[in-house]
Parts: sequence; structure tokens; C-alpha cells
Amino acid sequence: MNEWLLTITILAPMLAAVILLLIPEKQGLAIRLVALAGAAITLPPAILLCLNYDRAKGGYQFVQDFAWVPTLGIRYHVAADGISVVLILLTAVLITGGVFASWTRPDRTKEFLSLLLLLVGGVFGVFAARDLFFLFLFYEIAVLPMYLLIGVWGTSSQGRTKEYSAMKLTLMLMAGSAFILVAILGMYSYSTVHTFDMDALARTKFDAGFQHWAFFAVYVGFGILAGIFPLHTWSPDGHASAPTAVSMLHAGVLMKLGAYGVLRLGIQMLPQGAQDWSFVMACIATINVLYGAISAMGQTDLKYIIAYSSVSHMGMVMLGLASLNPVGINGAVMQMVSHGVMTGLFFACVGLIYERAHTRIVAKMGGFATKMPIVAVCMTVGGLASFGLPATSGFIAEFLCFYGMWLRYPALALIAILGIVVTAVYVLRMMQKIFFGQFNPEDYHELPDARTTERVAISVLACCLIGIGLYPKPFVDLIDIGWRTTQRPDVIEQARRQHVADATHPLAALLTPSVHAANSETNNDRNRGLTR
Amino acid sequence: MTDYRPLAPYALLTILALAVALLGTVPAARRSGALGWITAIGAGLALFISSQSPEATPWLGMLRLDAFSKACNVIFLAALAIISIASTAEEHRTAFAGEFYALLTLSTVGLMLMGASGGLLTMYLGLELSTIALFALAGFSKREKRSAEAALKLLILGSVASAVVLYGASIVYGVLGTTQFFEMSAAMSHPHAAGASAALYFGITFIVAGLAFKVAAVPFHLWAPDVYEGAPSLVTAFLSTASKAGGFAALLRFLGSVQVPEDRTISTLLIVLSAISMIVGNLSALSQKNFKRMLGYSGVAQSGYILTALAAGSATSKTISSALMYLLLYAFTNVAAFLVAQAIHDATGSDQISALRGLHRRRPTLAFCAVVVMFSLGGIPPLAGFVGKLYLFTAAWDGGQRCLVLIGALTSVAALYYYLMVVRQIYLLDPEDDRKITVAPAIVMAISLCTAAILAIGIYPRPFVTMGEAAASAVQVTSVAHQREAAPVVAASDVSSPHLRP
Amino acid sequence: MVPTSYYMILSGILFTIGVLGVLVKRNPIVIFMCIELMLNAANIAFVALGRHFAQVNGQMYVIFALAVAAAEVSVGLGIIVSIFRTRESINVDEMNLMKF
Repeated sequence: MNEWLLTITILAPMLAAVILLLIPEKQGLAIRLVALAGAAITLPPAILLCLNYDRAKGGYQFVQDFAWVPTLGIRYHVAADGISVVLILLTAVLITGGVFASWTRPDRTKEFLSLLLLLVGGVFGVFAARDLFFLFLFYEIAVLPMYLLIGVWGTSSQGRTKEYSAMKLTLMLMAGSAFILVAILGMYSYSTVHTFDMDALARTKFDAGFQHWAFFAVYVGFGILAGIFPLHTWSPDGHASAPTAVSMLHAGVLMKLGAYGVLRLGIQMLPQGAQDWSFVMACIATINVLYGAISAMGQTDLKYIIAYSSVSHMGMVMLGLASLNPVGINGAVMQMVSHGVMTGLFFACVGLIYERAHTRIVAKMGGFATKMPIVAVCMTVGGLASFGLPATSGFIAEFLCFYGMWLRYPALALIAILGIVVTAVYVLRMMQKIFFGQFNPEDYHELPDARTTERVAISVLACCLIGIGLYPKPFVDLIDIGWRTTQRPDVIEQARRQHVADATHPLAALLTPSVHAANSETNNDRNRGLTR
Repeated sequence: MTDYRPLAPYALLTILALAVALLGTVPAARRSGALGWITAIGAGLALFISSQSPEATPWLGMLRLDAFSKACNVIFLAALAIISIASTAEEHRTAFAGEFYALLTLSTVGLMLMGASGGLLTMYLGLELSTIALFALAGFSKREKRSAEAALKLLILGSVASAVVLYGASIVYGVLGTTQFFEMSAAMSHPHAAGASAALYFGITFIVAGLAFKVAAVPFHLWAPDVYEGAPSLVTAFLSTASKAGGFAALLRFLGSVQVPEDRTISTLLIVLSAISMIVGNLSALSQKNFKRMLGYSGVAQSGYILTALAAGSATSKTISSALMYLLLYAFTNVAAFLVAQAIHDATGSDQISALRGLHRRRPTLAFCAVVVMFSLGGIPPLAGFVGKLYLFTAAWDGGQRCLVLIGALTSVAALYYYLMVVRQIYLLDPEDDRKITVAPAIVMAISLCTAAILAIGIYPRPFVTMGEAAASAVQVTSVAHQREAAPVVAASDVSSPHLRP
Repeated sequence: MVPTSYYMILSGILFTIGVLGVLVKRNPIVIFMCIELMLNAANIAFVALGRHFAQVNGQMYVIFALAVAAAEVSVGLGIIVSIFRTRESINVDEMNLMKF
């Protein structure tokens, strides 16, 4: 059973997408129920994956592996480590929320939900694939439906038509996948084995010169999706134009695919190349954090604010990755989860507000908290998480990212931390303007609170944020074990030495509790105390 | 005693062509699309026989009926069958339906000969048979000025190209004293040939240039957009897929079995052809307003993609199998694309991309298929175009053509723009006229077949890769085996044969 | 006996004249004659080389090529006639319905 979990997770949404196409457009409820089933059916396997992951054993589990096109070295090989299972759980939560958020979408619901589920199937595939061919295939399946989702169902804003945003997004991301393709072909052809299988490639020793350029290609290719400066420009336009559920998934999960790709293909497969480019990555990530936050401050449109905040938060993810040490990487993955939930919550709330108030201009809003208290509470939780208030998931994640960077490039970490301050400023100002202050009854006749389905969706997301914030141990453990046990053999040796150095630092032992199995209990207590 | 059984598919198709031409005299009202179905069934039968028949090299090795020719036959006959099915919808409109199918079938026989050629003479005859039939087909809509113009352009440039091939063949014959592929490899290492290597390369370049015309590679592509636009869509569907595949089949057969020593010269030519085809084709397609013309330029670029693999060294089995697989999936994809053009033309009377506007409301099934086709042309997974392109680029990368792969990957992004512009018309924009359009069931059926094939190849390419590998080894095994046979002769006349490959 | 190279030079000259004619001339009938010139250049080369190698292959080639050329011309002239009917002119410069 265990080995089928991943395949079920990948195929269930895709199957639902196909079934949806066969249902007549008039059967509105049936369409929504099938879509919900396709999305929610991934939740039990995703939870099972997290629970059944053998923490003592580590490494890749739930393996399913058989030859697909033997002469080309393509295998259908899926497996998950701690990082993958956490991200799969995040995706399952967000797609379920996304289907709820698009419950009342009026036009062409069938095609919309079908494409959404197809996209999510691709996302699951990327997180599970252990074969470069399938990874790339799923990656494109995840990225390309965006064109139609934004182009057909999006909204034009600030003089940018939705067609323009959709085309810009698609072409930039596809240019990225051209780089990824070149890197993949390079790895494929490097050894005499000629295989796309990542396990086999992990045993291949790539020379330093190859790693240098292959890592660059991987970094640029996936980095475009992760929104690295200056290749992030698709992101604000795309997010602002996209409909609610699409923004949720795109900012929540798809951008994580970029970071995940850099981690899996870049840092894990090409460790030497990662060392070469670490400083460049760190600098760009720092620019991302600051630039995203400052740009968000200057925006008037609610969706643009959230979109730029995503650029800033993805910068923190990349900052954690660029540190190349266990602390930073744990932080990066935690930030992926935290930001995924947070931004999903944000976009869901923005969608609700826009649907009722018919405006996204912050300056025109005020005093909404009295009219829609649930939305106000949930969005405030998200806001607090976004600048890393303790007891929210943002704290542990951002703290680990910055701490990881501090261990590598202290100066950059200090500069990047300024981003948090700016974030606090614009988030609090935004909250204050929308929910508090004077409500103007002449502009808004009625502002009903969220409907039941929507209420469930946003409060679950908000609870996740607080839940992870209060008790991050299961996630940190999973990520940490995943990261440590899936390294290339040569890197494990190196990391062990590095870890000894880190462990002398009191905080390192504190924040990566699972490392010392012997004294894990005491660490847990300390960890909990810290987050409170 | 020569075994003539393997020739059965060729004979069957020739008889089919004559029979269909005769049946065409029956008044159109009484046959109601039967001719197209007869042709399609005949093509299917020929395909079955071809796949079952043993391998042979009849007529002193002038024909080589092996796994390679069988794989090529799959491409040509699949295209013929699908186009014939789609043509049944148009059959009642013309008084010359019999001739249409007869010419189409004869052209297919010519292409099959190109794929099965064992020497330059058979290759030339196959080329001419297929091309001359296509001249007439391109001008088939006699009343349409554009169609006649397309026919004239194809006629003049096609005749020049085949004259160039023939002249190249005469030079190669002059240097090597033979035109049989497997004898050529051995003769090339002869000192006499080495002394005249400049003339030899000159001749080979002529042959490659003539075939480059057939596959519409830049700079021999100038006819393609005009002819694609002017010729009837059903003919263009054949011209852009089967005919192009024929050109590539001949190139692969020629370059695969003739191991040109110091093949740097010829590979430089192929690299240049490939690079400029990808760049010029994709960039020219960006600004097109006419759907068929855009597909014409996109076809030029697709030839460039296939040439990347050829440029990587025609001797590797990956080159041959990846090119064959791409040609097969490209046949399904591009036939479907031109059938969409035909359906739209029937419904709206326009070939412009804007005529596709709002197709998702006017005919959802057709819209879905058209989008699948566009994404497959753009190389988007999980469709066939993606697997094919990846396979081609793998072959090119393995052969050391990294720059070409980079150019290919980047121009693919530009290509995606114009494919997406079509998708934009179909899905993003709402129609000006909300009424449903009618499309002939035969065309819908043909397009659905193609779409199914695109999905099938994309999701499970294994059988097609296997077929390609078998074809590749067939080309190479014969060349190596015959080289071994010929080697003692060469060694006797000349002690030092540095160019002879082991 | 005339050396084979003389024939090859003659064939080269004929081919060049043919190519130039195709490029320069504007009347499709004349262009067609130039294409015939190119084909016949190849034919001369084949015959001469067949004699040079003392093989019949060269002559055999020519027979096939002649047959093919005849077929090409008949189809070609048919197309030219049909064009003349639709537009009363066969100047290739006027074949400009389709452009970029």
C-alpha cells in the first residue's frame, strides 16, 4: 500500500480533471463535488505519508520504480523524503482550500477546476519524482495551465491586461525551463550510464567545471519560478491578474517548485556548483527580501502588495538555501510551508474582500472588521505570520533562514533582517487601513462575512499557521531527517564535519532537535519554550 | 531467385492508385465518400503487410526493405490514411476525387521508395515520383488563384531541387564509380576518392541541399510558406508531414549508411542548416496572421529541430531513431493542425488565425484538439512533441552539439509565443459570432485520431522508441556488414585505408 | 578520344547556365527550359562517366532521368496552362498573392 501512496496522490487530481471534462457544463453541483473529491482525496495519502515516514530509517521512502523507456534511461520512479512529504501535505491542504475558494465561481467552472486539478497533479509529481524526465514533465504540467487559468479567468488591472500577464508569465517560466532542460541534458549525457534516474545520477561524480555551469542553469531555470531578482517581474503581474484559487496555488505552491528544484537538482545533485554560486545566491536573495518588501510598501492594490510580499518571502527561502547549511535549509523548507499556507490565506481573504467590496485599492477601504470579523481575524493571523511574530509559523521559519545565513555570511543576514522591519510596517499599515478605521457605509452597502465553505477554508489555514508556530517539531524533524539522509555520499561526510562545527554553537543544537537523538527530549522542551 | 513478397505493399499501393483513379469516374453522388475510405483501408492494409513481410534487398540491392523502411512506411501510410479519411468530407465538391486519391497514393509510393532506397538512383526516382504527384496536388483547386500560384512555385523550385540532386549524384558517381550506398562507403576510402575529396564533398553537398529543399530547411525553405498557404489544406497536410518525412528518410538513409570520412565538412553544413532553420523559422512565424502560413514557418523550425540530431553525427543510432520518432509524431500533429485549418476554412471561409476566435464556444471538441495540437507542436508535456523534442535534443547533446541544443531550447520559447497566440484566440477570446459551427464528421474523426495518437505517444513512447532503434540498427548493420564485405577488396588495391571505419 | 574531364567541364558549364537562367528569367516556360538544361548537364555527366568506368550504370541513369524529366514537363506545362487561364499572364513577378 505504502508504495502506491505517491502515485495515488499524483493521479487522483489528474483523473478528476479528466472526469470533469466529461461532465456536462450544466451539472454545476456535480462538477464542484467531483473537483472537491479530486482535491480532498489527496489529503489522506498526504497525511499518511507524513505519519508513515520512517524517521529512524530516513532517506527516500514509498518508492515505486519501474522502467518506462529503457533505451532512453527513463524510469517511472517516485519516492519521497521528509522534505517532499511536508510539501505534498502543504499542496494537498492548499488545493482543497483552493477548490473551496472557487466554489462560487460563475463562468466555465468545469474547465477552470479541471485545469486547476491538472496543475496540482503536476505539482505533486514534481515533489515525488525521482527521475529527471518525469520531474521535468510534471514541472511543465504544473506551469503551463497557468496561461489559460490567468488568460481566461483572470482580471485586468492597473493597465495590464490579463492576456499580457498570462503571456509574460508563461514565456518567462518557459525560458526558465529551457535552462532546466539544458542542465538536465547535461547531467544525462555526463556519465556513460545515460540515465535520467536521480538516484543513479547522485552516484555520478560530476567534475567541478560541469557543476559550475550546470548549477547556474538550474539556479536560473528554477529561480525564475521562485521569483529571483531581477527575473521576478512576471510574479506581481501574474498574481494580481490571476483569480483567487489560482493565486493561492501559484504563490502558495508553484513558486515553491522553483525553490524545491534549486534544492533537489541544484544543491543536492551539484553540491560543488552550489558552493561556487552560494555568495551570488545569497546576495540576490537579500535583494529579493528588501526589494520585495519595499515595493510592497509602495503598492496601493491589495493583490500587488501580497504579490510583492511573496517575492520578499521567497527571497527568504532562497536566503536559507544559499546558506547551504542544515539550519538554513531547514529554515528554507519551513518557510516554504509557512509562506505557502500564509499566502494561500492572504489570497483567499483578498478574493473574499474583492468579491464583496468590488475594489482592491487599499485606500478606499476601512473598518471592514466590523462587517467581516472572520476574514479580519484570519488575515491578521496571516499578516502576523508574514513578519515572523513568535507563535506563528513565520517565526521559526524566518528565524532559521536568517540564522543559517548568519552562520555563512553574517553581513548579508543583517541586511536581510531589515526586510522584516519593512514587512512589519506595510503589513500592519495595510491591516489597519482595511479592517480598522472609519467604515464608510455610503460606499459599501452590504459586506457579508465569509460563507460557510469559505469560512472553513480560511480558518483551517489560519489554524495551520498558529499550529505550526506553536509546535513545529514534527515538521522540522521531517525536513531535517529528509535533508540529512538524502545527501550524496560525499556530501554526507562533509556535512558531518560541518555539523560538528555547528553543534558547538548552543543555538544550533537547540534548533535542530532531531540531530541528537539522545537528548532530543530536552531539546523539544527548549524548542517549545522558545517558540512561546 | 529474388524474393518479391516484401514488395507487396508497394505493388498494392500502385494498384490501389490506379483502381481509385478508375473508380473516380463513378458519379460523385453515387459513391458518397467511398473513395477516401478505400484509400484509407488500402493504406492500412499496406501498412499491415509491410510490417509482416520479411526483410529483403531485391534488385541488386537497389531497394533495401528492412526495419528502417518499415518504420518510414508507418509514417507515410499513417499520414495517407488519416488524410484520406478527412478528405471524404470534401469528396463531393470536386469532380476529380479519383485523381486526388490516386496522386496522393502515388506520391506515398514515391516516399516509400525514398525510405527504402539502397542507392542514389532509387532515391532520385522516389523523390521525383513523390514530388511530381505533389505538383499536381498543390494546384488541385484549379479555380483558386492561390492554389495555382502555389503549384507553380512548388513546380519550379521542386524541379530545380531534383535537378540539383541528380547533378550531385552524377558528381558522386564520377568520384566513386558507384551509386549504391553500401559500396560508396568502401569506395570512399580508396585513394582515388581521397584525391578528389573536394569534388566528392561538392557532390554530397548538392545532394543534401536538394533534400534540404524537400524538408524545407533554411535557406531552401522559401517555397514552404507560400505553398502551404496556397495549396488546399488537405494537400498541405500531406506536404508538410509525409513529404518532409520522405526527405528526412532519404537523408538518414544516405548519411546513415554512407559513412562519409572526415565528416566534418558535411556536419558543418548540417549544423548551419539546423541553426538557421530554427532561428529563421521561429522568428518569421512570430509575425504571421495566416494560420497556414504560420504553420509553414513553424514547419521550417521543426525541420531545424530534427536537423540538430542529424548534425550530431548521422552514424549514431540515437540520431536515426530520434528523427524517425519525431517525424512520426510530427506527422500526426501537423496533419491534425492542417485539418483544423481545413475545418475552420470550411466553416468561416478564412485561413486567418483570427478565424479561430472563440472556438471553445463554437465547437468545444475541435477547440480542445486544436489546443492539444498547438501544445504538442510547442513541445509541452505530456504530449508527443515534448518526448520527441527531448529525444532529438538528447541525441544532439550526446553528439556534442550543445550550442544547437541551446539554440533549440531558446527558440522553442519564442515558438511557444506564436502557438500560444493561437491558443489565445481559441480559448481566451470570446467569439464575435456565438453560433455553433458545423464540421464534417470525417474531419472530426481524423483530428480525434491524431489527438489520441499525440497523447498516446506522449504518455507511453516506449514502442515508438523501440521501433526507431530497430530502424537505426537496420541502417547501420547493413552499412557495417557491407563495409566488412568490401573491405578486403579495398585492402587489396590499397594498403593504407585510413578512413575506413572499423 | 576526348578525355572524360572535357565532358565534365561541359556538363558543369551547362548546369551553371541552367542555374543562372532559373534565377534570371521571368517566363516560367524559359525557366523550365533552363531546368531541363540542368537535368541534361547531369545526363551528359552520367553518360561520359559510364563510358569512363566501362559500366552500363551511367546510361541506365540517363534513361530513368529522361523519363522522369518528361513526366515533370508534362505536369509542369499543365500547371502553367491552368495559371494562364486564371490570370491571363504567366510572368513569375506577378505571382505575388502570398507574401510575408
